[in-house]
Amino acid sequence: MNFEYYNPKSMEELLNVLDNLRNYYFLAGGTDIVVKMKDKIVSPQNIVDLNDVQELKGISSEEDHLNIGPLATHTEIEESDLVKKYAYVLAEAAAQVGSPQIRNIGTVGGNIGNASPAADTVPALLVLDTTVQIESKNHKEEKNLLDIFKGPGKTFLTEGQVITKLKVRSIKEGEGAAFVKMGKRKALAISVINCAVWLRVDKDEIVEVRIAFGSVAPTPIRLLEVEKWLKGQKAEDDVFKQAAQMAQDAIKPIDDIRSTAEYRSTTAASLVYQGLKTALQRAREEVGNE
Amino acid sequence: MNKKLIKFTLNDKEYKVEVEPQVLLVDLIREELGLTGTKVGCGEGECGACTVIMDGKTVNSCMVLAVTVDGKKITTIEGLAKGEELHPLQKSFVEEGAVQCGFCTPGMILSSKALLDENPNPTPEEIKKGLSGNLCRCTGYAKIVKAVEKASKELNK
Amino acid sequence: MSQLKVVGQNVKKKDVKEKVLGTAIFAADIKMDGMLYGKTLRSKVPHGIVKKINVSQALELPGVHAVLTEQDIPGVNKAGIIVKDEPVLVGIGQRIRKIGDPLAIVAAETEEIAEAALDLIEVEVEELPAVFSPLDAMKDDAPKLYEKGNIMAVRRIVKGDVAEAFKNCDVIVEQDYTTSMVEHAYIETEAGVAKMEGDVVNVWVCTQNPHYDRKDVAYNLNIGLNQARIIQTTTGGGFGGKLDVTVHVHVALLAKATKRPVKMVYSRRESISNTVKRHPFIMKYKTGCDKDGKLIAWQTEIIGDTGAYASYGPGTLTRAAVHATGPYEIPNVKVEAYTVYTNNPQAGAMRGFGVPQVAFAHESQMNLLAEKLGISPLEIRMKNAFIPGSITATGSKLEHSVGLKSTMESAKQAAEKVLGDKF
Ligand SMILES: Cc1cc2nc3c(=O)[nH]c(=O)nc-3n(C[C@H](O)[C@H](O)[C@H](O)COP(=O)(O)OP(=O)(O)OC[C@H]3O[C@@H](n4cnc5c(N)ncnc54)[C@H](O)[C@@H]3O)c2cc1C
Ligand code: FES
Ligand code: FES
Repeated sequence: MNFEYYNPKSMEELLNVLDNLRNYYFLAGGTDIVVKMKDKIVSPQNIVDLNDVQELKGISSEEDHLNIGPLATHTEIEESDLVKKYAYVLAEAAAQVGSPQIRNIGTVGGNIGNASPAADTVPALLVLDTTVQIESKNHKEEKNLLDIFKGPGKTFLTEGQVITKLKVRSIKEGEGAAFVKMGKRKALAISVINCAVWLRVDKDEIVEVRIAFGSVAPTPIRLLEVEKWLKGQKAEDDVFKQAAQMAQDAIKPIDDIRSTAEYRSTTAASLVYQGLKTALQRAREEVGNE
Repeated sequence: MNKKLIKFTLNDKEYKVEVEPQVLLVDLIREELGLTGTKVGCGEGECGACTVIMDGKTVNSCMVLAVTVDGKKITTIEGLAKGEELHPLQKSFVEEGAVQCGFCTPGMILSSKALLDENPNPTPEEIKKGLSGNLCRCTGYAKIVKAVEKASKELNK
Repeated sequence: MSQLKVVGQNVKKKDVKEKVLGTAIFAADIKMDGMLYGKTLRSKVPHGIVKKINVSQALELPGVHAVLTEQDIPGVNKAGIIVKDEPVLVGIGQRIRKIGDPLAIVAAETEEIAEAALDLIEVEVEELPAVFSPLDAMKDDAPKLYEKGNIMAVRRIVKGDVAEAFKNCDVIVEQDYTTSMVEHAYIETEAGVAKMEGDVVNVWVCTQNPHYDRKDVAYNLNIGLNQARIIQTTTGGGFGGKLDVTVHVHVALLAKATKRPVKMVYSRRESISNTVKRHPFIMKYKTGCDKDGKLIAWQTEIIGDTGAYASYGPGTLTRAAVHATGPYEIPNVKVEAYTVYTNNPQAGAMRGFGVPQVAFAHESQMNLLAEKLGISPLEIRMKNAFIPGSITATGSKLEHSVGLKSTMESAKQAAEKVLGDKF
């Protein structure tokens, strides 16, 4: 490790630093970037520490969504009353990241920025239709979270850009969501495969549904085809089983050090099935699972 | 290199040190400050041997850059006993046989402390979750969980 | 029992207070004035002949105090527990037998400088075909790791006549079993510090085997046993994995060469890829009994992959052979256990020493026999268990108490209590 260290104290200072800087990574919790530097997977010339930029912290609620600062740690998310009430599927995912020590400093912004296909909070954020606010010196834009992943470890963010806010759609009455993770152990296990489901029902009919997967493709994905098929169907076991089969057919996972394509395919079906069932149950129990 | 001056509290003592930005917290604690109770088992967040408490929360000091602890409060295993008097967790680890080789022990005790500070009456399940970032290859965890339960009772007296 | 001081009592570990206080000193915690840091350059290929090692650039790097190769070893350049087949450093013209074989060692002012020096050492290796499966390694046309071939040792046990006895069996179960390589993963990685005191070298090291370590240090430094002192530091787990030499001879060589204390601490990666493992076994079992479940014939072949070097291999396979038939009395037994070299990481001692592997197989055999006979797994074990007077496969007569049957009886009662009808 050999880098220049920048420690901006405000958003303005941060954007100014970024405006002139090349070859850098951000330091949020550092649970990805510090390990990558130690292992010499990356050797940036510059590190920009985000931790003193207050504007990047905090969780608040607004009309139909939550604003989550990218520096929110997994522990903060897991314990936040707002998240537990309006975005419990995200709390559920954050609670399953790494270990207490990792959750205490690892952030949701870092989980996104690291762009691992296995990132646990991402499928949960995807089914809550999360929008990412991206800023640079003279520019601010919003993008759907799905559109920022390029490939393993790569986002479409360009130099000078930083994620400054996540807008996460609140779960309302008649809606339910669930996150299911398969790892080799209960703790300290990167997902072999993970899945989040969100749906809205009107009596027995599925009005809208979103399904997202991690670790089955180079980036986290949504299953748009299966979602389309489910829309208007009855919210019942047979339909969920069919959807599970469609999900299994739709994904093209690979063999890697953590698992095999075959295992992931088979598991995908049961995760979708479980996810749909739990989400439905929660939708019927009204808002929140607390 | 461009060293940075940082100020922080370590085991209730104020420190002012100059560090190079790439120095890890664990190396600052062990090599510069000479407190070797904090161990390194993996260097990448998997084992928890390097656990310290930072502003009330456990972190793996092997992946924290020392520059970032400016203004923070750190507790290591050396900060628990009061002179000769062991902390209730240290006592219960001794009494319950929760220590074998002892390499994981400092990290285990600090994770237990952070847990009990936040949740003075944890269930065995909560203890297991609280210690899920600390690996022990010797004892088999059961005695460690028991030791934490015992200390929790002692501390609540 | 209550009058005994230790047996049956809860006793405090002797060093437990230091351990909970964080003041116990493990090898990596040692710091000495003028101490240098050591690092090892390792082979990236599993099999080959070293053609060239050029250390001149590394030596020029500021902060580097020594770069040693095989030529700098005054002694035998060999280590090993049962057979001395492991080079301390592989030199020019010599054979690399696994990824990670040490080629050169460096001592420098900091770990970073030592690591940078490793990158400056030029190495040329003529790669050879490698073999990773012990079954392949046993074939005649396999790449040979050693001149005398890849079969390191064979252990045979014969009792009665199995070929004849299988003819009289009512039920026979034939099954192959494999077990995997396992890393000990003690939470403390290997570490040690060496320091010269006159012509005596002191080595503080985490170890399970100080008396063996001493010999390897002395023979390789070509000094008297009285000049090599091994001081075991508080050891962060071993489980058999810290019986072999790792940093020991290297830090001693570097301390002698630099006249400064030298410390080496393995990274987790280095520890996992370069130190001993539990032997992976391939086991072929054939077990036969009469219609009542009484064992008559038992045949086992065990192939243990000991990797590039023997370590505790022949001992492990001997133990495995002796325990291959489990705690059962059988009149006709044939066991063959092979210790085989491959280009894999070397396997050595680990908790149970070959016995857990065969236990998986012989207990599975018993269950399969019971299933075929339609009797309970407990019944078949009760019928064949050792009792006082039994003669084991190796011909030992068990003269005194054998607790197996009464233990099974107690286990049964305990299980019934918990499971009730379901048992
Ligand atoms: C032992 C261990 C276990 C783990 N287990 C899990 C697990 O179970 N599940 C899981 O999902 N992850 C796991 N991780 C990975 C990691 O902890 C998470 O991805 C974490 O959320 C990363 O957050 P961070 O704040 O530490 O990121 P950092 O390491 O600080 O940054 C990661 C990347 O994100 C970029 N970045 C950070 N903030 C921003 C921003 N605001 N805008 C743009 N880019 C940004 C950085 O430039 C960097 O490239 C584990 C890691 C370790 C070491
Ligand atoms: S040494 Fe930090 S977690 Fe293992
Ligand atoms: S006591 Fe040895 S690792 Fe826990």
